[in-house]
Amino acid sequence: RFSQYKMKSSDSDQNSRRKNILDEQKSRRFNFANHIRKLTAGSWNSGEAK
Amino acid sequence: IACTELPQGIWPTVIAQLTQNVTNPASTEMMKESSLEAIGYICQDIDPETLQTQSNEILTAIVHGMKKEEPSNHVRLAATNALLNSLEFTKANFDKDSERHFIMQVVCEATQSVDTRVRVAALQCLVKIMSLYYQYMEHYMGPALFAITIEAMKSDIDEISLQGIEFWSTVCDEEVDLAIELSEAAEAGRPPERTSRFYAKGALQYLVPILLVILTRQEEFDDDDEWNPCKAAGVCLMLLATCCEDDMVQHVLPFVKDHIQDLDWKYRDAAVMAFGSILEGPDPAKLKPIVEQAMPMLIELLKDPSVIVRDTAAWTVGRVCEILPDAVINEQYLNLLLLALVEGLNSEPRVASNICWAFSSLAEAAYENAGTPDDSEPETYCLSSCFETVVEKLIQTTDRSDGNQHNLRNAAYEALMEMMKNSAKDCYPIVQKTTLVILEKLDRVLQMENMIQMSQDRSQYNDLQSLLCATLQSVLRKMTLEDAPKISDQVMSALLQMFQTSTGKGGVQEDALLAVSTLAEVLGENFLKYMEAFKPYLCLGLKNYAEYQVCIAAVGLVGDLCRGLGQKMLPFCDEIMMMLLENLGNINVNKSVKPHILSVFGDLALAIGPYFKNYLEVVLTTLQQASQAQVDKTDYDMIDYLNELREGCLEAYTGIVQGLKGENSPDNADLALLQPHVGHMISFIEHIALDEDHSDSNIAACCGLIGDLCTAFGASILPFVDKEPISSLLTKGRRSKSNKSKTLATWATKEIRKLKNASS
Repeated sequence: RFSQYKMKSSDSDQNSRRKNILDEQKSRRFNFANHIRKLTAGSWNSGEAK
Repeated sequence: IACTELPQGIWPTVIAQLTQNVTNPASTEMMKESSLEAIGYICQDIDPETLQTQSNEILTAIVHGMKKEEPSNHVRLAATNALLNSLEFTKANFDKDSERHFIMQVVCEATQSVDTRVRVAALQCLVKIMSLYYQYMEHYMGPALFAITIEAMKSDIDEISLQGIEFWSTVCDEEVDLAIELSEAAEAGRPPERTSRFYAKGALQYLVPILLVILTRQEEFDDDDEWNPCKAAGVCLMLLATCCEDDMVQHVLPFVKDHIQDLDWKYRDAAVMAFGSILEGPDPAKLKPIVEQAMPMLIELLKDPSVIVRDTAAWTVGRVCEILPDAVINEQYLNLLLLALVEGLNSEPRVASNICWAFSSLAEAAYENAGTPDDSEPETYCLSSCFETVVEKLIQTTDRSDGNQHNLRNAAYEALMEMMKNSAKDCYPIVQKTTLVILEKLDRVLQMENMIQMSQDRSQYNDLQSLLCATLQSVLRKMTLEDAPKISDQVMSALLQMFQTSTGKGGVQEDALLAVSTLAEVLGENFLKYMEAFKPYLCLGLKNYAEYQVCIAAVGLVGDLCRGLGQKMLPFCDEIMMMLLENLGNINVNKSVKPHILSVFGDLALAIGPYFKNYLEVVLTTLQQASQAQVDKTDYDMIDYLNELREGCLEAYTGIVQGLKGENSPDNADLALLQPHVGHMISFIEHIALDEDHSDSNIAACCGLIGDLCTAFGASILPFVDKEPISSLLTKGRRSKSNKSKTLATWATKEIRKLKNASS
């Protein structure tokens, strides 16, 4: 309970920071794979147009 | 001794002996008390399952000792404490009406004892009963629990008042959980298992006035570490607002209006606290005009003569910035607020720390507010004009000599990071300037290394290094491609020095590795020149499985290096692969590292393409083993772990297929090496599809791999993918709420269709 008193939620404390970085790494990997699949936004749309 | 022996069946008579001591009329007071204490301690520490079969005996003894007819308060207290510790394994007794009625009667009677300790312990029992057996409480709420707990809240004795408040905080926790359960059930189209009785909503009109009075009972020189009814009342109001939402506003707002400018600081503080507490829960649209109306007063209160009021006002402003930023990001208040906040950074550490937090939220909201259609960086935004002032002031705050109090230094760095991350293009010169300041600070800190002797100084020094690494990442991420190489030598030499001196300090190493990740990402191929100097530290990180988070950071960094360096990664691959494989096979390596390693196999394959052939056999064997892993499905954490492990395998397969395919598929000889493994990949995907616990990102990764196999192998893949489990997986992906799954499932479906059309 004590920790809820005047609680400050934070997205930039050390734990969330480290977790965010790992999440970003994951999304970089995802984007890289999609880039190779030519699925990045631009090429995907042009694929649709065809 | 009982806790050690009972689980092994060695001392089967102990519980019978102790309970007989309690119920035997010939036992002395001391004997009863000691036996009940022993029962209490055993119940507290033992695995509840061990005592399940003896729960009747135990409960009989406890209730015997708790009865109002028991003349000794010592015995009653020991019995009540023992009950508190046994509540978790007496579920079977709570399930039976008559037994539950009896237990509840005895507990309620004990709350009326003249002995404060017995009353407190009995109230503690009620709190725990409420959280464990909410569904059974309807029968007791109206006739007993409501009156008992309201009376307790009003008590002058802090310990009793605290339990009364805690009871209602627990009701809120339960009912918030039940509301979530209800909405999840509705979403899944099934009835919820348990339902809320809305006790908090029903009691609101009686609870709030009492809580508001308690809120005014602050102490002039409050001890930060002391938990008292005033603080508990603040938390309870906050929980009530989350639980009862809109209903809360009408009960609290009159008090706020009446007292926010009260001459008595205790009332001013209570009013601000009450206001800050109800900001989350009620409909933001309903709150926004109220908050706008209150803003001038809140800004004024940041300069209140009482430090306690200033602290509460700063916390409330922080909450507004976090929860209702639109109420302050407007022409009317923003500049006024910014001026007051900048000035507030000079206040006592507790106040300044709240203000830093407000800046963090404000930066994020302002950036979002400036939102560009394509999510690119906006040219300018509402903080641009004051950006330099705020940043300078935050940097000064990081240097305050009292920064170790109330987490101020951390809060100031966090605010600085948020300001950097959420800055518009026209703030870039200040980002550059801040980068130099941070590098200077890093240099200075590293020079202090040998002067640190006291252990407290050491831990502050380590924290500071971590914070500087993190701030460095926030500025590096903003650097333009032309500017990054200009500062990278200086950044890298500071980080290398940090690695040299930080052996045995996992936290610092982790942050330093993460900073290198950012640098590698920003520099791309230009990072190559640092590889030789950096590689020893990368290897140390990969081998540091004792501090597994360091190891995870190092593994992740390998992935970033792969994407940054591409084929130039080749000279380092043998050594890195060896260490990764060693970690996978080592039972002492924390399991959470392993999915990361699997994913990085994919990154390496993509980076070096055809050269990955050297590792192909060993990696494919490893993946085959990992993809067959099984876990205890009753453990949610293990289900999550299995999903991560599978995602790692899928990412590895994707990287390998894409990497070996290169530019010239499907006539690529390298791909032939993979052909014998396609069957396993597909059956792995089918296996995941059939597992009802799979995650959405598992689906996305499966769809991606299906598409990759199609583009790599062409029509020869059709017999593998043109079957029911695969097409229903793709349908599920296309219907997913997540864009990731949707895009990949649609793409894979089209790739299959293309192959079918071509072959027909």
